[in-house]
Amino acid sequence: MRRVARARASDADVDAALARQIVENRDREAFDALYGRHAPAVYGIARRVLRDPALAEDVVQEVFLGFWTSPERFDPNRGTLRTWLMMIAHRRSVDAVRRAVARPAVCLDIIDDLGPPVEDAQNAALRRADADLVQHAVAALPADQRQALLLAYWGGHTQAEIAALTGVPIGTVKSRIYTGFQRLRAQLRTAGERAPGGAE
Amino acid sequence: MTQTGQECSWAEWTVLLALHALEPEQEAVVAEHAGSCTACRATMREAEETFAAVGEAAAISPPPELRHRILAVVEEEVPPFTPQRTGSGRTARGARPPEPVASRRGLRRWAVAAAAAVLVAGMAGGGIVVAQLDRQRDAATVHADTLDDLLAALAASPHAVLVDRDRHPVAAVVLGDAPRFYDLDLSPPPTGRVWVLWGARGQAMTALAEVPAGAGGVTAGMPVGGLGEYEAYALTQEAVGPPPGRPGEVRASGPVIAATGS
Repeated sequence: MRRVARARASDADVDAALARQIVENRDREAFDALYGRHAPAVYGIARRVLRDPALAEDVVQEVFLGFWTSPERFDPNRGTLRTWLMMIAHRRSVDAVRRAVARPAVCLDIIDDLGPPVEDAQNAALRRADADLVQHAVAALPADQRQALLLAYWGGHTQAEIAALTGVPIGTVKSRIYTGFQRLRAQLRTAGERAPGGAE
Repeated sequence: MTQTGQECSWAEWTVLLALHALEPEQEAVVAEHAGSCTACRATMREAEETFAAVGEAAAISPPPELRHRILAVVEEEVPPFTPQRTGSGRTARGARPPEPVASRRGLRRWAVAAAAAVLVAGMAGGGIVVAQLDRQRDAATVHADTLDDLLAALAASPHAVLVDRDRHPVAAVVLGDAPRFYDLDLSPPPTGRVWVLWGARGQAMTALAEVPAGAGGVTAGMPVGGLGEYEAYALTQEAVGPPPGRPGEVRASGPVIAATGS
């Protein structure tokens, strides 16, 4: 068992129960609790991609009001609510940044400029530990893979745009992103297993 | 995280899909495939989980007033499945119709995003998706190079995707420097008949070429001269021999749309 995985499983159970309350009873308190659990991550993604607090707030609003309006669009068989919200937040942020006339400058290193810590999130310490694992895993990627991944994720660039920005063929961008993803996935698994209390 | 078994040859595309790093038309095609491929669904889920972890590492607290604004909208909302309105325009619960207090700009963006989602859904159900690519891949009739070539061409060049009456895409015409015809899923014509590709401009239709069909998979692009001067393309089945001056029954058609990729 992994500590992080176990905590995530518990988180997923709580989210699933809250989502059921929203779907079945239109429970506003459940929605408020869900907002409290995930708004920092949703806002963090939007802030990082858009670099504009007002636009980021718009994305948070779209994500959560969209879920409130159509909670049935979340399919628990496809993954956790947390992952789904993150995915929607990134999609909305990327759409917004691509609509922008002037795109923000891209910061290529996730370790920089992460903003203030999450003060009001539950399990803040554990989440901070998770964040540290992720940051180290990203930092451990080869520079070209990290650059391609982060230009896509934080920059909201398409593979063709990344090819133009970095001066390499599209196929190379695709390979770098895929290999980077594979490494990142493997490193996150390994890091989770090695974390204090990560193995029993 | 979930464990992936054997990965599909589309895995790289699927990861790009999860990253939202594909051009719009590539996205429609890959999403259609990923929705019907077990291996790619697993890859998609793993990629979404991995990238969600990256996103969560950047979590920061939003302004408290945002929570108040959003909760105010929720408090004022008329639940969509309790529409028992009274004559006064109030719901049976007494809640007023929604009067969002969030910024007008924010709500406008929300509406735009919803409209865009509908548009994407329309594209996914229309002529651009090629669900049969998955079946063909499974049947080993699609080579990765052919697929890459087609996806890249759709993104990079003006093109038309020809759909049949059931909105099923059966062929594509890719324009640009090297115009090509792709058979996506054309059925073999009856004995004594052939598929003929037509170009349409206004009310006029011109027979362009007899095209091969029925190979059972996506074929490598077939060069066809004179493809680039029409507003739309169509396919008919005609008798073997010189093409007629007028087309028979149009079996599939599609307008030329601009490249949306690089």
